[in-house]
Amino acid sequence: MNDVRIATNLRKGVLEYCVLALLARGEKYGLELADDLIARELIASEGSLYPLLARMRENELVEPRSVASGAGRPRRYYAITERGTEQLTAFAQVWMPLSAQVNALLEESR
Amino acid sequence: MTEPQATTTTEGTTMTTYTERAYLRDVRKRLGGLTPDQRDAVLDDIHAYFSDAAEAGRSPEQAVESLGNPAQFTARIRAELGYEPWAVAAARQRPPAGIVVTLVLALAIGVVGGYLAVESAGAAVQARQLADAVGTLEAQDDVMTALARERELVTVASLPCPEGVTPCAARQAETALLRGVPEVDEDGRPVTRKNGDVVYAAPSAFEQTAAATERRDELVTRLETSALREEARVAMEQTVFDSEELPRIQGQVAERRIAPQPVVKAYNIFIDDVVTVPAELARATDDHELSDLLTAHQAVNEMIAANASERPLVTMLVTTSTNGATPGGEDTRVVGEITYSNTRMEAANTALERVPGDERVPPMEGTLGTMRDLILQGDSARADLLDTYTADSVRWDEEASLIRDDLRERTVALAESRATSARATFLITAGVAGVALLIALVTGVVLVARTRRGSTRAGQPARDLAGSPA
Repeated sequence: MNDVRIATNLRKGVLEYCVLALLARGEKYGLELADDLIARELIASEGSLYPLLARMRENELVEPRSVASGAGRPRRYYAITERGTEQLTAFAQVWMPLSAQVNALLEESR
Repeated sequence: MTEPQATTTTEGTTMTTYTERAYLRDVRKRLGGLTPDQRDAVLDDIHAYFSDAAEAGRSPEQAVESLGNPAQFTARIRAELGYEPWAVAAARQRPPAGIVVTLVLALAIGVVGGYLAVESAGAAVQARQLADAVGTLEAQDDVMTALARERELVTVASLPCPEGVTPCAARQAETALLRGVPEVDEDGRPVTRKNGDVVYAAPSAFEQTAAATERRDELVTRLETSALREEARVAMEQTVFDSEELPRIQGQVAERRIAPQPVVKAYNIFIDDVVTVPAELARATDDHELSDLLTAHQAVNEMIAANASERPLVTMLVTTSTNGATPGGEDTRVVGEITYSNTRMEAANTALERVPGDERVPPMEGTLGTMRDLILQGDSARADLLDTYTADSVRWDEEASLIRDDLRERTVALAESRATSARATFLITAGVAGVALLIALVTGVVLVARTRRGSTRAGQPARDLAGSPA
């Protein structure tokens, strides 16, 4: 139970940047993005992704665009924006040394 | 209503089902507070998600299950976008405690202060009017002294002049009453002008009384007495009414149209009316210290009036007894007067015991006491003591008047002090109430403004309130 709570809290803090990191590799449509995050155990279901995307879109970190998809309805892809990239860079600058320090501490405490 | 069936193309690229439409409709309904752009973007996301899910081979039900039911999903959306209706509503309903406490306290102080201010306003007006009324007591005392002297002169002037006695006390009294007190030379003879007219050192008793009543009436009629007890108001008005009656009595005395006894009775009524005033003012206040001073003032005044009444009667008794005239009941009247004076003296001293200080009505000593004792014992023919008795009695009057005047000054000072305090109390309570109500008004306005602002923002993202995304 304690593990779940720690994981939930940590995920809450980094999920937005994880989405940015995934989109930095290239635009993705919603389900594709969700599947990737679920596979990485960063979200439990799509129900967590779309609300987050709504906020990130509102904050101009990502932007959607429709791409024709064969005979079906056009797909809705998400791409990272310039601002999103800046945010990701800033996060990486903080996260790298921080995680290194945390890892080192955890190693030392073993 | 027939449940529409899911329609899926054979290619599996398009899916529009009742489940999707119902889900979208429910979500749309629950996103009422969002801007149209925000809402449309979310609906586009869901729409695209259902397409992606269908293309991935998931059923609409599976897609819905992954998103969560519309209520949960929209709650997350609203939270992510900073719409926190519960928090906003709570913020709107729970204004800052400091403002509420200030408002409640200010209102409470304002209401209590307002009530006290209204109460103290009435007390202040009453205290002011009482102080003003007490301020007229000196004029009332002057009237009483003038009336008592006039009464004495009327009594003495009615006495017969013994043959060979010059100057006759009765004629002197008549002169003092009607014309004035003649100026006398070193030999005691009246000073006259070249034309033979007598020079008067002082106005007639009538003129002196008229001047005193005129001054008193002017002061009393100017008084504002609406907040005083009716009895006090009536008592003061009565003294002014007496002033209208006095000239008629004086005219009859000047024309010798009425016997002394009815005249003396009329003067007694006028004097009693004046003496009553401080007693009624004493009843008009709940201030015991002030009431005791007024009561003592009235009691000493009654004693002075009793002695001033006694003196001419003793003179009349001794004179008629000496002349061999039939007393005609004067001795009984004088004994009754002396007995009454003694009870007044006891009453005056009792009243004086209730006020600070150890002042007492001066004892009736010397010839004054001796003459009174002799009369009480039935000896009313001591003409040899009469002049000394009269001088002692007048001196006693003067000493008692000093005590009365001191009491009056203390009463006036205390009444003024009380009026000033009452006014200060009113100003303070009114000021506190005013400031408190002003504070209540300001905090009330602030509260209303905050509530309105909160109400306006209830439909906007909470991040606007917080300054950063929720």
